[in-house]
Amino acid sequence: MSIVSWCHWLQNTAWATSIRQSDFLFPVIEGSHILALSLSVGLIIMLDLRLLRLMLPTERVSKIMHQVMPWALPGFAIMFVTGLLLFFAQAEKVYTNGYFRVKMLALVLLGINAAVYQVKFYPAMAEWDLSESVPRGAKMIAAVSLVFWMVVIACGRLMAYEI
Amino acid sequence: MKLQHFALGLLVTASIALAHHSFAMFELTKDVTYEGTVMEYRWENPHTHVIVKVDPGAADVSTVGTWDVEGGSTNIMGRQGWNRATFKAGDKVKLIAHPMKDGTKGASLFYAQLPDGKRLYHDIARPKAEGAAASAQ
Repeated sequence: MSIVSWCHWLQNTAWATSIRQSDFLFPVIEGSHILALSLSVGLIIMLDLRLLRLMLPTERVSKIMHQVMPWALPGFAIMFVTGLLLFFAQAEKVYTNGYFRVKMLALVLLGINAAVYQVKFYPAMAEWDLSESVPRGAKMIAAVSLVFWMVVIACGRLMAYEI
Repeated sequence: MKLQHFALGLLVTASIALAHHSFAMFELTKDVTYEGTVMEYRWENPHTHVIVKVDPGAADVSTVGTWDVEGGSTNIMGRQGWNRATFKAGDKVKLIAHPMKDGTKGASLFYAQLPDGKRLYHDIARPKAEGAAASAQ
């Protein structure tokens, strides 16, 4: 089965159809998907800005990270689940959407970006936590995160404009 | 520094606040009548669609072909009296809609002209001449 025909099947399952046709479910899922941005991306941006020393430069990076993550991760979980449901409801239309593809690519890149930070910079964070010199690599990761989350948000919005 | 934060905040909100689908791609000042047969009636979110086939011989020759006439969400349309059974494939319809600017065979639904003379509007928009009457209700 090709991906397109799988998307066609998925979109036409009884429950995907009922999401799409519901006066209640669709707006609630779509609204939650957008609102959860403030928890996930909104808080990740705070960490990124701190790494770039543009915000709260006298606070420990680890302190900000430990404050932000317990909220950002559930926020991301909400985004992920509601995003999946929105995809199911419109799979066929969305799969061929150029902005959707760019958004997915950007998300994969952001995943790799976060993993690199976790492996390379997170363990030794205490060494530069408060110093003026955040490692170049960590700054790069923060910049990539800022830019690509903007790409994700913009593409999510632009998807609606490509019929 | 403050300005940087502000600009960034603005960027984020701007991308979210464009709350729904823009109508910039449609020629909103142009009302075209599509009179034909319903091929498909898709009562769904985020937009309802009526796929209508206009046969050769139509009063407006430029409308001949198959058109994707797009409405609003089920909520918006429901408040104007539409429901999932308003149309079905095979029904004869007369739709007044705003065509796509780029010439693609798609249009933004304005209203459906029903056989009994009644109009089913897509949303709260009304023709200019009737605007006063509509708001007086």
